[in-house]
Amino acid sequence: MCNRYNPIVHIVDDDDAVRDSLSLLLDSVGIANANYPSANAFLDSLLEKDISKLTGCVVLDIRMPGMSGMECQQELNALHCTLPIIFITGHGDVPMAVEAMKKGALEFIQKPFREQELLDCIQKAMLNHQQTLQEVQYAKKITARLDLLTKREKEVMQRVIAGEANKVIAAELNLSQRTIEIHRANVMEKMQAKSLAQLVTMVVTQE
Amino acid sequence: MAETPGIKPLIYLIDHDKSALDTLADLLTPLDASIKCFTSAESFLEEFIHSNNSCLLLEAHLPSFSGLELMEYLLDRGLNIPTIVMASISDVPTAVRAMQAKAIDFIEKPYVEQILLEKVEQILEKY
Repeated sequence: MCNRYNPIVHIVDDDDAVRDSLSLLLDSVGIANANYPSANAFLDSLLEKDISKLTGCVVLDIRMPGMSGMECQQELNALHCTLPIIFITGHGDVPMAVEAMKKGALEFIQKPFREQELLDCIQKAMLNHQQTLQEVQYAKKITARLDLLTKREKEVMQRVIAGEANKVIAAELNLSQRTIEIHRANVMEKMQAKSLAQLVTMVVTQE
Repeated sequence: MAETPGIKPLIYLIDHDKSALDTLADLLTPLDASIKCFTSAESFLEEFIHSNNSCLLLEAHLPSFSGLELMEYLLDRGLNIPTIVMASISDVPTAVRAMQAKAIDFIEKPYVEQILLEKVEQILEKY
């Protein structure tokens, strides 16, 4: 869980001046960053990395020679990269912005922008990403626990969550009430749930 | 999702311009849906009941409670209704904000009738 890479802001822009000024800005507030003159340079750098361990965000220009920002977003989606993407552009129009947002971009900012605006956006993006990763982590944990249940235990669990009394479940599954009680206790133990409410929350968020 | 037989889809329209509302309602007639028109977000909220198989077409720039504020209001309360935001004055920040508030789409006015009709149809089929 805590073997993720340290958070880095990845700045991808063919314009040297933009890269340098953004890099300086982030350095000045102590935010680690790396910059790339092209989408390909950025994507190449990911080849040696475990994408699922990346944290931070990507600040991506739209119009670049070679691979465009939108194409880069497409590649990142294909790689299942979860890093939030902030597009910055001197050229954006509404249809392009809408398209970028539909494809999962967090933000789309037109130049010229105020430095503070971009900074706020970056910090929000990084926080957002932390939360996403925690949710993914939690979901994996719950799925792993669910995988420990037997088929019968799952049947009992679904009915318990639906609020059925043990007696009712016993009748439905043609088992003794005592058997149901045992299955129920096993479910609670395997799911590590301390209460019915907790069990419900765990299972419902997975659906 | 399965349609409940006999229950028509429901389309809500919000625009302060009454004639724009009428034009839009006419355009959507082929969809055989119940259409409810409102000239303000407030009047919409008074009548809105969350249900399946419904959608909302919303002008972004409304005089008092704006379209975007409405979307953010609904989002905060978990009242998800598939929404297409439309804007007569359309700029990138407005579009971005609409998409961040989980709009399905954002369309600049004047819109292309056929495209809008298709998008609404797709939404009603999907949600």
